[in-house]
Amino acid sequence: MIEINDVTKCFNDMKALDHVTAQIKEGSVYGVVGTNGAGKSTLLRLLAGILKPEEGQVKVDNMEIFENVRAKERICYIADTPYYFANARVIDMMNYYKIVYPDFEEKRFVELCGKFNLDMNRKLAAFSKGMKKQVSVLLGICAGTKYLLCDETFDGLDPVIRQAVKSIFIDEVMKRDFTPVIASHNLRELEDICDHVGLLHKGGILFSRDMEDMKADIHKVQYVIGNEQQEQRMLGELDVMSRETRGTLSCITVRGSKEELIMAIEARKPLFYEILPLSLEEIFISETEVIGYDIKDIIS
Amino acid sequence: MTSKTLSVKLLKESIKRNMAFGALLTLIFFCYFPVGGMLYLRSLDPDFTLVKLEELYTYGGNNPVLFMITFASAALMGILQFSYLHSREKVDFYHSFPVRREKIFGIQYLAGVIIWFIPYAVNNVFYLVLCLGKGAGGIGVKTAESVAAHLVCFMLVYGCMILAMMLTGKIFVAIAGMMVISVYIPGIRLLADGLMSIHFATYSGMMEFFQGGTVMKLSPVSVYYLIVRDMMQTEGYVFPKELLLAVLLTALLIAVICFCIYKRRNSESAGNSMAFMMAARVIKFLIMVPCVLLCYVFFWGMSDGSTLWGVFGLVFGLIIFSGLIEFIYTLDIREIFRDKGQILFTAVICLAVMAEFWFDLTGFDKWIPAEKEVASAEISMGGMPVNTYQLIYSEYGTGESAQYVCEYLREKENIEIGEDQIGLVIDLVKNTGEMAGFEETADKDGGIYQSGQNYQYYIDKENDIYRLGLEVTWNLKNGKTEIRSYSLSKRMWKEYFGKIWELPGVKEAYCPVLNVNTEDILAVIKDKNDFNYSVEEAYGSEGEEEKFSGDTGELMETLEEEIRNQEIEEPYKEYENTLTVIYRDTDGVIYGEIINLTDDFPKTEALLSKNVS
Repeated sequence: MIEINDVTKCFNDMKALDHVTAQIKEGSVYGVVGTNGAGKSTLLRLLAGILKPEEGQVKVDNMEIFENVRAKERICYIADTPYYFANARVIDMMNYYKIVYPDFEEKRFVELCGKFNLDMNRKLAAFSKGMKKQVSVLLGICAGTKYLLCDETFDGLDPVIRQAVKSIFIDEVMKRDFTPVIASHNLRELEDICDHVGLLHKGGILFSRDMEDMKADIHKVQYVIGNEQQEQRMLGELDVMSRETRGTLSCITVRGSKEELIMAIEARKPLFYEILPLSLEEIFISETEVIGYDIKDIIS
Repeated sequence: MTSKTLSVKLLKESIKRNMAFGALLTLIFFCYFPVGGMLYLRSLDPDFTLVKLEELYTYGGNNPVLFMITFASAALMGILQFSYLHSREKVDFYHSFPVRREKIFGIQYLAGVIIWFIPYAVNNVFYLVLCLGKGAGGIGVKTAESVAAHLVCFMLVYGCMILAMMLTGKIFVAIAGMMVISVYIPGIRLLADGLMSIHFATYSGMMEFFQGGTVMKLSPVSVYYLIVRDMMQTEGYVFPKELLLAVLLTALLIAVICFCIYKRRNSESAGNSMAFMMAARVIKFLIMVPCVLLCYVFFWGMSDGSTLWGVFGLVFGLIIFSGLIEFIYTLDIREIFRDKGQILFTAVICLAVMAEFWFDLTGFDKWIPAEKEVASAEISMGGMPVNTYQLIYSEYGTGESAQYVCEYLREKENIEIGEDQIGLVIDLVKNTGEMAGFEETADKDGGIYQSGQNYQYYIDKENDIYRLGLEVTWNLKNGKTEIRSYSLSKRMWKEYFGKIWELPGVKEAYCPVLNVNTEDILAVIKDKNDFNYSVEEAYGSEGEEEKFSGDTGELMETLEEEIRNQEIEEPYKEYENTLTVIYRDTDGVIYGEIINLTDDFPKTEALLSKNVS
């Protein structure tokens, strides 16, 4: 398990992370989502033991990660812009990873490079950005570590490769003790792979929850209720996160159980109502709107 | 995998990544040592066996070219091995791995040394083997010493460069930092010398700096130069063991400091100009103060001594250097005056330093020791009654075919005074006050003085104006040595210096040739007023026609008598001829002493005229 206990990280006068607490359980696929500048990369770099927090602790399997070789052996970090040695070929990087990660699966790496059409004897400098990312992902997967930290890994991958990588992740999770932690703001990509999500905003964790629980707790419904007073009373009873009205048709996003929501609506004898499926993106937007970050204000 | 195996593998990887530079060094050393060395061997005159060996060694071991190659390699290796610290991507890469920083540092450090050392050592051995094959044996020990010396100096320069890389986050800032490290302490000393020369009339300069004093040993450039210089001498070859040991310990200490800094260095420093903000402020202050004072000296000098212009220089320097350093730190022109507090503090410190020089707050110029504090004194001045110069010869061959080459020429200046006669020196020094405020009494064309300046001498014979420079080295009983310069008039010179000149033993000590046995004298040569002592003019060659062929004993007695009878009348007497006495001293070394034949030596001149062929 990775434990982040009240961690604060500052860069000069700026607080990148402010008293963040979270837990990443083993065997889950953990997504770190957040607005721009929320601190996702900083969090991952702290988890990788690259940065040292000003306050708090980061522990991996009960061991503090910073400058701890035993703890770091359980983690592999994939940066958003991977670094490779000058003039290195894929095979050279593999050989280097083999030195630092004793459990590196060479055979699997070679096999995966073949499947992804990556020439192992070709210089990485000649690869496209997407291909370089693919190599970094494969190196990370084959490092054989328990935790894999991926910073914006899926960005830069084409849809086919993205799906392939997701399949490999899921395969690894099923096969062995493997916990990927994926930072991204591409929520659609995380939705179908993550089973646990942490939402970062301005250096703080807004929430950290199981995906299913999150979806079960927020609902979107559109309805038509003829009586305005009844509608107001209903809105007062519910924990409304957002509301849109187009003529008589209203659409609200509420927090709470589905049953409570249905009961509240049916009690007002609506002319029409429908529970709409919520995507992770919509949940994200709703949650951030609540605390004042309205994406519509930015793009309007 | 064990820790040791991991270290070895990582070391191999690190070396592999800089193979290109290693290959370049191999090529350079190959061209320099075996190839260049063998070409050089062919060009040497085979008859000069001794010279040949020494030249071979000098070429091979301690050539200035090798010094420059090694220095540049060390600086470049420091950059190559630790440049990853200046890139966020690279730092994230290395620091995310399960390898402790201690190990990363050790591996990078060692790899840098190996990449340089192996091409150097291998080619050096190759060169040595070739020399042995050509019959030029005997340079093995010196070659080994040379390798050791260059390795130690490499580690020092390498360590300094790594220190600069550790403290900064951009390569160009690190290079600037290395330049500062290379010149800082000698630069401060030179600046102090400049300020003291300008404002302290009794300051005598610092020849010790250029002769390898302590300050020269506090810079990686100059200490490396000193070591190579000592080993480059063919006759005076010295393997500076103690200095090399000190340099080695310093290099290791710097490596340890770098290691400690690395452990504390934040990964996020990559890309920032300075890695540690507190250190950045201190470094800025340490650089600004001497730079601002240097501006003072510059503008004072450019304006021929205007203090007002000097003050302008202070203000100008404060603004310029504060802004420049801050710009280097932030790369933002809007931030150049952000730290106003520090600018103010620096201004105060600079003014405080200048106050010392303007008002002599510590009493430097006024200082004269009490008689009881002084163990001995040495007096040196121009305008000595007897001007002598000492030469050292090297002898090549024996008998008729012997040849002498003048190796070294030194103007003898010092008169040594013991504790019991110190009072005379103090009287002399106290009465140099007559020259205080000496100004504009000479014709402009002949030389103009300004008070506070410290010229060695000035003569205007027509107007009977003399200003003689005097330097006194006070050897104090507390072990310290103080040197002061003074100026004195002709009257003071006659009255006070005359007493010192008449002290028993002074003349003999000043002219050691007077103590030489006649049978040890190899030759006496009369020559024109010309110090061009080439081989052709030395004993045994073209000097023959001016060689004294009479009774050497009689000549030396006459010379001694005339020296002893010399009176203090006129400084800087003119002379047409010189007398060179070449003799072998008790230590077996051949010395030469030149005496200027002024009108105080009529009998000696007469003897010479009679007996010089």
